[in-house]
Amino acid sequence: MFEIELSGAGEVIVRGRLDAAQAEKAEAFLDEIEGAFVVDLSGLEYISSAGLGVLLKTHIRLVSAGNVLKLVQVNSHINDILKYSGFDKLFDIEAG
Amino acid sequence: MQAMFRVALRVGASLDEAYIHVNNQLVEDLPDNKFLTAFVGFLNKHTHTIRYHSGGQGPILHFHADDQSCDWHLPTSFPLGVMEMETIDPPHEIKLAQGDIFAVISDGVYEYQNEQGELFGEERVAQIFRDFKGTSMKQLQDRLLQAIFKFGGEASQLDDITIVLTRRKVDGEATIFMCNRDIGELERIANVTRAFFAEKDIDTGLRNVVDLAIEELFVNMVKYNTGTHAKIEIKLEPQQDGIKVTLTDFDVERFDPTVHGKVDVNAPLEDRVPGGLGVFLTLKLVDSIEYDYHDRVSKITFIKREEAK
Repeated sequence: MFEIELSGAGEVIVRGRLDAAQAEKAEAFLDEIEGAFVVDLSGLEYISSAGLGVLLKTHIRLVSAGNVLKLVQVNSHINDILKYSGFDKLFDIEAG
Repeated sequence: MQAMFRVALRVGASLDEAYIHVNNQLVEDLPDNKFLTAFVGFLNKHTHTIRYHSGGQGPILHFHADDQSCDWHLPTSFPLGVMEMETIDPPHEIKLAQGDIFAVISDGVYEYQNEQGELFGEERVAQIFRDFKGTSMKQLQDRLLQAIFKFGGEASQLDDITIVLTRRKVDGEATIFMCNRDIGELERIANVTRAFFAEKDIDTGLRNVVDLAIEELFVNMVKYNTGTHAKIEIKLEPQQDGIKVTLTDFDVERFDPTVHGKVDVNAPLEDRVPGGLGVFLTLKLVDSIEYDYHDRVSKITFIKREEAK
């Protein structure tokens, strides 16, 4: 199960398992966002390199336009993956 | 008839009641010269027992893993639809020990004839079970079919063949399953892994890392070993303090992902590109990983252990 949507407060809410099979769905959604965005990962149970690739691609696009993608409510497993991949140096991350 | 049994059991009939009512209905509905053989029963996965009625279907085979002997059980009743019944003897009950196999095999197997008119018979079936008892039920079924058709030679098949095999797992043994070369399989793989962790009582804290390593290696095989349509085999084995996973890709060129896991995780954003991270993360997160290649079979095995407490 994987879900991605905009909350009423304008945050991107991500839930479930973001694996290679779901990366296309995430990418299609994130390709549509513009400006500075907060992504709430409190419901994200699992992420693989395919999911990281989608976040990276979106982040690069937003940064090049002078914006930023902030990751909030990041659980310890996702945080470990972000650290091991060096993404903690690229993203503004707020632990859950 | 299968639907009749399902409905009867669904509305709360006991096995005996269902059998009696389905039989009596078939007596009403079938012409006098028609009848049906059938097996119907319940497998209790907690007690490892099978309770069943077998109407003219037999022999039912219970293969014992410990001494490789076979019990051949006669039908519990006559075929369905022959004559009405008011009562029935209690269901037969068989308890399976670890590694035992319970087999419902139609007479189309036992009575398969070769060109000389000889029957395939029970002993040939038993020998196949002894020879291939350690294989998967799918492989055992394939071996049995191969042996039947080889035995039959040029003789025509005279009857239909049904083979239903059930084996009780041995504690601590591996789970092996085959996957299509499709990333859509990832959900099923995660479900199998989840069930395996629960069944073997493996620390669930290891699951996301194991799922990630399997996914990255599986996706690599699907992406880069494109010259084959063969399914990919995944084997999960419990270890004393964790889990061992083997992915096997058949009929492929050599591709060792363990030597490709080089990523500069300190590179600045402008130099980072999506991709290449998967194997890097796998190498980083698992405790050991090995690659083996021979006879066009590519095999990757990794182990993930619990953190020392």
